[in-house]
Amino acid sequence: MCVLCNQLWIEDHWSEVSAEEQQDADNGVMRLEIHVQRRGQRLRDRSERARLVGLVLAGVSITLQDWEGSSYILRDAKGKSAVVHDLAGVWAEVEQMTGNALDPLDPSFIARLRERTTLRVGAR
Amino acid sequence: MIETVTGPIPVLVVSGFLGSGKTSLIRRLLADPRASGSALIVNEFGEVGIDHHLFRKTDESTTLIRNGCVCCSLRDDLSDAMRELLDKRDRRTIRPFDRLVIETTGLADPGPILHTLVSDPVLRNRYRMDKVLTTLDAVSGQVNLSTYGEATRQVAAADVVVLTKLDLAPPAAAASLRRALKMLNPIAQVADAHHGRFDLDLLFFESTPSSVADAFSRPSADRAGSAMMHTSGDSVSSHTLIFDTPLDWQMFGIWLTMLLDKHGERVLRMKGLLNVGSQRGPLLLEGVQHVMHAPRHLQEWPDDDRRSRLVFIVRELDVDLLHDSLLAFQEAAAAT
Repeated sequence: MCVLCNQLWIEDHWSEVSAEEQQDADNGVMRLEIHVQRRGQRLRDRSERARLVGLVLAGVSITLQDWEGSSYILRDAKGKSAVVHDLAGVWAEVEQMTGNALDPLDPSFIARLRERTTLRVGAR
Repeated sequence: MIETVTGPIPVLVVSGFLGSGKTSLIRRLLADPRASGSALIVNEFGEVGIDHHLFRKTDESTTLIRNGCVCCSLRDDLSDAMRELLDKRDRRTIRPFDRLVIETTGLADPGPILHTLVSDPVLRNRYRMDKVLTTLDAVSGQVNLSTYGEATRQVAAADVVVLTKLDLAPPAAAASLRRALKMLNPIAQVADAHHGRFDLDLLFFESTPSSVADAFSRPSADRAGSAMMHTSGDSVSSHTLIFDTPLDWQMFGIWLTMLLDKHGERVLRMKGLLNVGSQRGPLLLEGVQHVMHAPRHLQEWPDDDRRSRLVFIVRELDVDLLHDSLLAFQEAAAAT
């Protein structure tokens, strides 16, 4: 149990590793005390991760929000929501919510992502 | 008392197609004094001289999960065998072992084995994947690669490929196989076995983040490029993608999880040495199909090249789209 997160602590998904994390975990298995020490950075990372997922999912009007550092909440424009544990769970849930599987290699998906990027840069 | 001081036990997976020399290789391994502390999990008794070694036999019972995706299935037999060995080790009913060698069947896909190792909560804390070694027969290896998807996946998943039966193969065939191997898996270390003998140091040399990173310094993996070969009716290709500027790690994770969710079965192997703008060394990331290992931060770069290098071995995937898609995700992150 992590006393700060107030939840059963399980190992993080690989995508939750911080870019600045030091190599002091034992062969990829992070100890509980390290998890606690890095809580602040971890929460900042999760918040930033949720924001970036929002950029990717803006085309289907779905947002992602970190929930207390333990889960993420997906919400669509109609008020539907779903809880996922990590990034790996996001995409299947988005497919459930939209009825379509998003394909990062779909040329039209890539083009729309770029369009939104261009619009954001232009709006500055 | 449970022994945790020494850390997780390294696991060596010995893979290879039918008749490619796995048993000979393991027999040689067992004859070496350095293997005295090894436990074995084998598929068949008898062929390997295992009298004085710890061993378990498995029967390849597999549980399919995730909508039947083969690489995400769990090898129940393997999980049971690995847990039983741990249990006996902890209760001291067998002598402690410091390495586990798993011999797969000739038709086994390494994906479920690796998935079992990283997804089982007990196993992933007590064992760690060291390397996958695949034997490739110089006489029929080329035919096997072009006919059987299993042979292709075994080579794609390999960290070390041992070429066997070189003494029986015409030099031209062996040279052709080497070229195919370099195309299929440019990051694997290749060793030759002569009359069943090869450098056993490759098995006992434990992978370190730096030694793994050295794979990216090999000529075939240090420059952008693609190679393709047709195997078992599919087009399997390896691609090295190079990025000059640091990658946004968060967005990279978003992109890769999305890619693997949709196309994981087609990503036979992925290995990346990423410059994520950290003050320290690069981030080393590797995976087989849907199965990703935890990324490791290296203390330093293996050479002066500070570019991000990503090697993908894929089946029926458009590498230009792969590259363009990753760029578009990175541009989105950079524009905020």
